[in-house]
Amino acid sequence: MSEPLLEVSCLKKYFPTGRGLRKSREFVRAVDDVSLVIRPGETLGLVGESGSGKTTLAKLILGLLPPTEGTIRIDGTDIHSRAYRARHDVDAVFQDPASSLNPRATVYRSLERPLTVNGVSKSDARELIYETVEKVNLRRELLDRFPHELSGGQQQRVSIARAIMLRPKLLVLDEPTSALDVSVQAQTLNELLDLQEKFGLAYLFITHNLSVVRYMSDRICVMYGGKVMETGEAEAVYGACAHPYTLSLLSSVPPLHPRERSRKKYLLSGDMPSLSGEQKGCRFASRCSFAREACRTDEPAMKRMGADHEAACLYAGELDFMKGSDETDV
Amino acid sequence: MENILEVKNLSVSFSGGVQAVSGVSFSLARGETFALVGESGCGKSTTARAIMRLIREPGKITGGEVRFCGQNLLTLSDREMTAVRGRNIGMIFQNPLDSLNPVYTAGAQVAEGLIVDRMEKRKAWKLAADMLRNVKIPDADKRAKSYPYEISGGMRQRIMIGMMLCRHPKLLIADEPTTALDVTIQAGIIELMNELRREYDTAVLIITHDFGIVADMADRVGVMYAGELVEVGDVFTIFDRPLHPYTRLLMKALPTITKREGRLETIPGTVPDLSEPIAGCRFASRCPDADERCRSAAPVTAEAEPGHFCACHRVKGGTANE
Repeated sequence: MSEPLLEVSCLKKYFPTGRGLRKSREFVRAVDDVSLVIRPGETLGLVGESGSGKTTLAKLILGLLPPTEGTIRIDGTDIHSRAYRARHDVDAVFQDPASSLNPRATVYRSLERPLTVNGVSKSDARELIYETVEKVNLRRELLDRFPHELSGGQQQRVSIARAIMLRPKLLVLDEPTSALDVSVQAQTLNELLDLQEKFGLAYLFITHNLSVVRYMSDRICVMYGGKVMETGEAEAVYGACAHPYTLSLLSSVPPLHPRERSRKKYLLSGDMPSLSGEQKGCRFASRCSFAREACRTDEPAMKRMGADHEAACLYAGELDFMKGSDETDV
Repeated sequence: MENILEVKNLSVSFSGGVQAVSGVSFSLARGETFALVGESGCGKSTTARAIMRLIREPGKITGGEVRFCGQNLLTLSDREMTAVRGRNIGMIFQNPLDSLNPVYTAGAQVAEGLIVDRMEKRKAWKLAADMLRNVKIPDADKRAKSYPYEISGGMRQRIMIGMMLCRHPKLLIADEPTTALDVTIQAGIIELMNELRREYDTAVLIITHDFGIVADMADRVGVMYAGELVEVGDVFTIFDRPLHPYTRLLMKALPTITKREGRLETIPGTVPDLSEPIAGCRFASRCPDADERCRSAAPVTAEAEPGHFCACHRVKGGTANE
């Protein structure tokens, strides 16, 4: 297997909850001991409910937040070390394209800015912009327009063009199609796959849409309460998930056909627990229908389920939902 | 079966001549769930609001009828209409926080409707708390005394459902009720709505862009495109044998595969500008099967098979003179 492009190890981000000068000892553990790798050219799908720490993790990887503990390495270099300065290995595309483009700048200006900031000459920038918009299937005449004159799909393509302009190796895609309609979403997803094939880009694909993540991902990482619950090959996770949380997530996905209405559901009750204060046991125990005594006291470690499949559950592999979660009673 | 809602030729336009909804007709039987599905800007929410007469300036209902239990809602006085809203037709929206008053407790807001119906205060409060239990809110008595900001998104939507159902409306309109929620919470809300509509024998008009929700909830489906209802049918028929090219393409654009199995189908082009008059079929510019006739004459909605209506020249019965 190839060397990892991105290696996140034992990453923690705790936000203090104290106000002003009176810093308390209380923390919100937004990301709590997360380790993962992304190999060149691969897509890792990151799924979980809101508040599970997905976006905080993305911000840490982009270097927008300093980690509390742990390291993030790209090609073996820690991104917070001196050796890693002014490199453009990671870029990002966010959910709402309208709010990530300057409304008062033309598309051309929005695309030119990151280049000139990084010392590319104006004439080189022009060439690079023309080349890039072609890659994302944007017509050249749109370059002189303002963001509000573009459709949502076109705006998102501008964001993607801007993100790939400096030839990153990894793109963080934070809900890139959630604001788009189904037909536009399909176009955007296909274009992202084409770009990945052409340029060997790696993606960290963050979404709450489990069908989109299944379509896009090679591997999947399921987060809950700041921790990784399960990770593995996409088909292994979808076909035979080992963690009760993954099971609940998958069975919450609306069916593809009315015939599947009577499928067995594992609905979650209650809300995600508070992430502040001392944590004991499994984060998911309070909502898990399989939870036993030990789950509330012992912190589960990652358990190997297959070649590239791990789950953080004390009873992973022993629970009797193993026969595929999306089983239907037809 | 008795129809409680009949929408006939409903049209809504906005200033500048934008035809947001043009000639939409469908009906809902007692206790039935009908889903209006379509992409943003197709007029599904405008249709729902027009039924409740919640279209504001510069929008205007320009034609058609909305018959609710035999009575045309469009000819009622404002006062009569106010009495229909909430009591006979309930409505819930995407963001429950926008629908709840931040300075009153959840219980007070659920009870308010009952008090308007001249119920005694103490009894209304008791019923409101019972209703919160009915929508499966844990610790209902405590929650009744909580303010909306103290309650999570999924619970707020449950409160809205409870608030609407406690007056036993004959029809509940739900406009994207789970779009702002996580999938796990969404699944719970769908299950709750499916349970309660049977218990309260309420017809539901659900507005959504998500075919998954349609599959999970609807008895019948109407697909909207650019302000028109292009196909109506039983939910199984629509999923198994969609007739309109737009419905067929939209279903194939849903990510149901993995990237190793192939690429998703896409629909080329964009939705037409609704402020310009369109000569032929509104989908013609994006339709792979479109021919001359499609670009020149608008198709007529016809019954292709019993209960399955479609507005397309290429489908049997799509053109009046065939």
